[in-house]
Amino acid sequence: MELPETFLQLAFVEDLINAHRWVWPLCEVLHFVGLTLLVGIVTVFDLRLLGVAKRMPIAPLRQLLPWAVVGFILCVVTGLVFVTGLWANVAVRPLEALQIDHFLQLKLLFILLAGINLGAFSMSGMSRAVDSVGAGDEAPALAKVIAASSLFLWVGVIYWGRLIPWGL
Amino acid sequence: MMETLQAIEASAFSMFVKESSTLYTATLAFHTIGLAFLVGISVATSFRILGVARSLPLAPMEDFFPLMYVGFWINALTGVVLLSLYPTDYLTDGTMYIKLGAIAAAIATLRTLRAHVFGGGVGLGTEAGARRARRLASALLFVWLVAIVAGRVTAYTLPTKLQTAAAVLVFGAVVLSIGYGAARGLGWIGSSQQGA
Repeated sequence: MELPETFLQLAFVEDLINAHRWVWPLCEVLHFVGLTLLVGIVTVFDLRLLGVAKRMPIAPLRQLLPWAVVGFILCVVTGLVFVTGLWANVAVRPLEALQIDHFLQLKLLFILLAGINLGAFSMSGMSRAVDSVGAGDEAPALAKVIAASSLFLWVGVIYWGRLIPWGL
Repeated sequence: MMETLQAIEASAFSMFVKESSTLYTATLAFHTIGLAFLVGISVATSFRILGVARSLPLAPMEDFFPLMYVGFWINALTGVVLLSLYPTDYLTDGTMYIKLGAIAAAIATLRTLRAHVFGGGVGLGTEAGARRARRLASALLFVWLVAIVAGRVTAYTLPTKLQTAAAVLVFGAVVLSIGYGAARGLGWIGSSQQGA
């Protein structure tokens, strides 16, 4: 099945970007705020699993995680503005960007892998197991592997994401 | 002054980085990774001080400060490299000085916050001490936001910069008002309990 040339283009987003010059840079700022929230909090959680700040019990650390989700949502919403309104900012259609921009492809792949990694954290029982890791305790080895993967993948998401304009 | 900037811009190092698209883009990407570590962990620490995750002991958060400093030095290094590429543009743009000023203010606030909250926990046991910690944490979040906004709008024209800054302020005020109410309702935030 061939996708239409205008796949993922949203006229109202393009109109908004064309009508107001501040929409695109505002979304850039919010994308950065979102990534800061998401990666900052995920980094703290993952590093504790890896043994940094061992004086900290893991269960209460979970209370920071909803803010990482807020950061992720902020990134997804603004990321969708960039994709669906791309045609208004540069002469590249979203479908073309998805097909030719290897950095965008790698970023999306790393986000998918980070999602699978998170699924593995939950389905392997590690998510529940780490709740009993108290002050001074080591996290289980599998939780450490998942935490190291998470750190690597999210840093990769930032790396590939920053390169997207050079792949268009 | 302009001659010096032009000489830096035309230097062998500057030309080498500009001509290597891999080196240039990697420098930009590491600048963002450094920001995520430095600002991200600052945000997590500030949120805890402001009452998020109030059962989380605050003292161990200090163990993440070395990574924040790693983030700072990554950004200082990559920032100097990026500045050396187009100094005639960057160093003649007032936005860059707002960004640099905000970063300096953030680092000074971070150091004051660390000394106040973790330097033996002076004053944390008192309401006045806790209030000062919350003020410092709020100031830290604000100056980081100023640094991010100034950094992102550098490439735009002055009217767009001003409009974007106004949009961030309006958006921020709306989100803070709605978000604060929602976060309290959901129990994500509460009366600050320092618990260092």
